[in-house]
Amino acid sequence: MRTDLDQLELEHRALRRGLPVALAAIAAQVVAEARLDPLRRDAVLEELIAHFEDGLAAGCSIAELLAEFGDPADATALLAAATRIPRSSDSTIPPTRRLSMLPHIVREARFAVRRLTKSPGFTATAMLTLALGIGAMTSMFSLINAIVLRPWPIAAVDDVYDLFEKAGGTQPLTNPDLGDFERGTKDVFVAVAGIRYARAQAGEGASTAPVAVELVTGSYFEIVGLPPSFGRLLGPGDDVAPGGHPVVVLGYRYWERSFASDPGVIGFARFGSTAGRTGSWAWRPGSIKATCGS
Amino acid sequence: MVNVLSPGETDMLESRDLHGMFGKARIRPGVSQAAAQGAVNRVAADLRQQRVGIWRAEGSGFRLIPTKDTILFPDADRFLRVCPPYC
Repeated sequence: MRTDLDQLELEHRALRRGLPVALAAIAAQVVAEARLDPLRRDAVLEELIAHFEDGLAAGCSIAELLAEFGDPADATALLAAATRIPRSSDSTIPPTRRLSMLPHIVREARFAVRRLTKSPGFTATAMLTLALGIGAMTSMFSLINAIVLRPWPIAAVDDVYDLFEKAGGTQPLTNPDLGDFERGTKDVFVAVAGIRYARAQAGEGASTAPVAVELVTGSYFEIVGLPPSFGRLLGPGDDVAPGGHPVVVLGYRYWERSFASDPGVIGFARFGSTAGRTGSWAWRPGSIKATCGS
Repeated sequence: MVNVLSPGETDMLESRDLHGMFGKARIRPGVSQAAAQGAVNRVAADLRQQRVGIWRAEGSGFRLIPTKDTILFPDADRFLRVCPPYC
């Protein structure tokens, strides 16, 4: 008696959706006799209604759709069996049985796509929300990872200090002030270096691309205190003559990305707003960006 | 290289008005931060005497902050910290 009442209710729902009586009856009969749990029953009914609607929209007749659907008893048995299929993570499922779940997964995916395409506004909103959420979380993690989680690419970082000028607020130094500071504190500091952030053009001719660079003084890598992957780093001798030693240290990732990890890049990479020939060396992984000597 | 990559009317290496150089220093073994700050303050005092008009007299100087305590920039870091140690 209960199944009959369920079937009537399901049939009314299908009829209210505009399905012809014969198709509504079949859909309701199959879903009711499969004795599914309420949530799954509603989803399966929706799927069947959508299936018949698609067929009608494609120009099929009711008779054709009924013929294609086949024996309702077979569909009922399939549905009932589908609800008893355990999850694929269950290690007791034999491999052949796992493969047999593939059509069900495909059918579920098709059902999900069909439901989503029927509500484009909801789908767009959901996708936009997901995209914004994932993007925001990725950005936040990148920032936290860069400034908190990643270890300092500096040897014995406890001995390294940042230096600023104090004049009302805090500000970077001027180059002459940095020189005065270095000369006056030689008994306290092993090395003092200056870093200026800039943009440069990398490449030659028409195939140049802007890159973020750090222009540093010659003592910079004495402070960093880590060895290069190969080649050499800048040293105090590299900034004796202004403009006389235009050299570059490449960040490891930049070297991988832009030069395909080619060790032959030494002596051939070109950086700058002029076509000055430069040398280049690869810096170890996970460290600072491309660096130009001043 | 600075003037080549960022050309302009002012010589960035000689100007005492262009504050764009971020300083970094490695302390000698056995020297404490307090001793280093003392030396830094002495240099600042000398500069205030030598460069009147360029270095504003009182309040100007150098600020030494452990690199591991710097997040982005001192004035911005105070907003990033729950408990700002350098405010």
